[in-house]
Amino acid sequence: MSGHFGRAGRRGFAVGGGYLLVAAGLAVLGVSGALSGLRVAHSFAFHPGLQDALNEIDNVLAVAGAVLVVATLTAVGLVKVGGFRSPRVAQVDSWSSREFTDLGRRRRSRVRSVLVAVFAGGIPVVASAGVCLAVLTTSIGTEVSSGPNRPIVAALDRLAPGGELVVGFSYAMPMVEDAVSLPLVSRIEAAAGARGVGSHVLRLDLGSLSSSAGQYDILGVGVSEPAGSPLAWSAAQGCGDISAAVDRAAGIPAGSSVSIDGSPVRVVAVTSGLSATNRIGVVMDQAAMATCLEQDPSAPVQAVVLDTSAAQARLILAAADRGAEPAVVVSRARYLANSEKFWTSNVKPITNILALVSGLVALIAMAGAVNGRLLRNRREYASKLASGVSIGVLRSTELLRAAKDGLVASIIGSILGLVVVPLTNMTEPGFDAGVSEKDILVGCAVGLVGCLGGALLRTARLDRTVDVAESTRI
Amino acid sequence: MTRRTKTARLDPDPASSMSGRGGVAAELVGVTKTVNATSILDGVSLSVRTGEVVLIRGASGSGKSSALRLLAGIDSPDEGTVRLLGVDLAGVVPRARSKLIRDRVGIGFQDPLLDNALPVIENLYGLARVNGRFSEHRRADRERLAWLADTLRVAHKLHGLTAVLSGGEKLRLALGRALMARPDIVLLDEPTHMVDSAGKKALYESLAAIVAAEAVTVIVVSHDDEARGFAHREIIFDRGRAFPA
Repeated sequence: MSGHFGRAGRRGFAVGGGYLLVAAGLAVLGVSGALSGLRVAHSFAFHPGLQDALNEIDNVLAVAGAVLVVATLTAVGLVKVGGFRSPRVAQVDSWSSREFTDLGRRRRSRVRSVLVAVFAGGIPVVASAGVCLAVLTTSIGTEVSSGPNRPIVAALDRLAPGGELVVGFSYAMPMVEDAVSLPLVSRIEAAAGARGVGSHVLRLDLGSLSSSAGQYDILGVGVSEPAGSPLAWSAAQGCGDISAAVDRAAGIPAGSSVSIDGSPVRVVAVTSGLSATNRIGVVMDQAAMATCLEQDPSAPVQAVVLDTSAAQARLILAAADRGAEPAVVVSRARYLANSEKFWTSNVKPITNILALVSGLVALIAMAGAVNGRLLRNRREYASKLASGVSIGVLRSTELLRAAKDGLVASIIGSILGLVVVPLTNMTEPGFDAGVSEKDILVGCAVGLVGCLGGALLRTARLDRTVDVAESTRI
Repeated sequence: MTRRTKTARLDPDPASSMSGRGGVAAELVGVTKTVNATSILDGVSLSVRTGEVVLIRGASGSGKSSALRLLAGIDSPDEGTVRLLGVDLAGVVPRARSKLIRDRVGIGFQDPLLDNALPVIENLYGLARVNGRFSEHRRADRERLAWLADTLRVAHKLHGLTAVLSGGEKLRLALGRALMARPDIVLLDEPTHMVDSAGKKALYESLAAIVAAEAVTVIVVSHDDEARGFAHREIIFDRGRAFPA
């Protein structure tokens, strides 16, 4: 007896000493590492195929989500309807909606009764969180990849819907770095005018806006405004009298006075859809922008938009005699696709990986939850197996439960996503993440794959988890 | 191939007639069982005829529950033959054994093992319903459910939560669950485990009423004196061996 306690004591002392040693080592490593900026990293070569595959994950998940939601709703619906004809199916449906053990509950809550009647009698918290996370990451991924295009699309729509662009370089990115000189712009306008084609100058400017509400980085869009327009400006007005429309993302009301790049500007209208992440969209006359903000009336513009087809635009550019100056015609669709690809490649793989990780976490968590439920109810399951219920029936019960949990998680997670995603817009000016149907379908895929996958993993070995001989013995 | 074998093996043993009252319903022949080098059953042979109510008694650890578990197909013997309703359990595939149990056998464990989170009524019919032996659409089944609930004195609590039943009520409910599917034989392991004398008396009275009405074969493992008047015959277990009382 004393030998037993002696051995246990020595072992405890040795293990405790080990804990203390590791704690001391980590403390030293932590302090020195934090001070010296210790960082462990390993670089792998970039793999374009992997990036392309990752870029498609959200699309694949959205399709899978749509298929799974329809299939799961159909399956659960068929079980419920089938229960009217088959008492056996009705009983599986009933069992799949409830725990067998009472877990100390002595009363039935009204909410739980409704849940039991419609789906399952519990809320799959982890799976719901997984769905919410997937909706969040997909929404952010969509916004970060398509958001930068938003002001360009809005500006082009404002200038000439359907027109094509003449730019300095077809793959210029970001567009603000593109340049077409003013003499060439004049020749293009003349050539276009000779053919009866409308032309519009697009000038972009990165600056900053100060107001009583705060300071913002802006993406200024300079447009040619007809005389009489509230935004129209002439040199005679001077740089102290500039009007602009500011995107609603800044929260600056019309009538406010602001300062852009040091020049006083009057906000005459509030516009929308012009902001990108961390860039508040501002529209003003392009002459005012060149003269007052850039302080260089001869500064090149970023593009000339022509109200015609790409083929006709090429003829106009050829007629404009560009000489040695680089200038090409870029179709609007190609330009926007190029821009979107740039941003998509930048961020989409990462946000898609996060969506995948949330799905994986949901799957592992739900497999654990199913295992927990099997263990919690193993004696009840064992008594059923001993009484002749087949393993297939119990497996069906758990899979049906998982399907119901997946649907509940999809609904709750999506609702949470609808609440959480707009909150992210508070973190960056101009960030305009929203929840689309696709984002919700990605979330549903994560929830349903997580729940069903987890149940499949765990019920495959149900006979090992539930030991009939052991669990029915006292 | 498996299905054909299963069907063939489910045929009753010709040696055991099941054609009517008096045939052998359950039988152990020379059964031995050893667990962790300890002999639990040592050449046990016993036979129970159709319609008989047999009480198995004996001290704790004498092997009586182990014998019942062999008859229920929950455990298998090291040696010997277990025949239930004319079927040699060692000779059938697990799926066929499950079918035999769910169609013709009612089992009651020491612990009621009820679904405490479900209503009382669902515990009564759930198992039979999922095994295709109860349908709420059949009037006869509904009437049987009401009769069992009444006989087992749980009718007034049918729609309440099972968790709030008393220990005696839970045991009677478990008995009802075992009987719901109209089994040919009922195997009960200590059905009055941890219940006071009045509870035991109530349970055996209910069981006696059901047996009288349905002529079901019953094998009960119990220490209870209350069970003695209820049984037709007793078998005594002692250190892994069975003896007639």
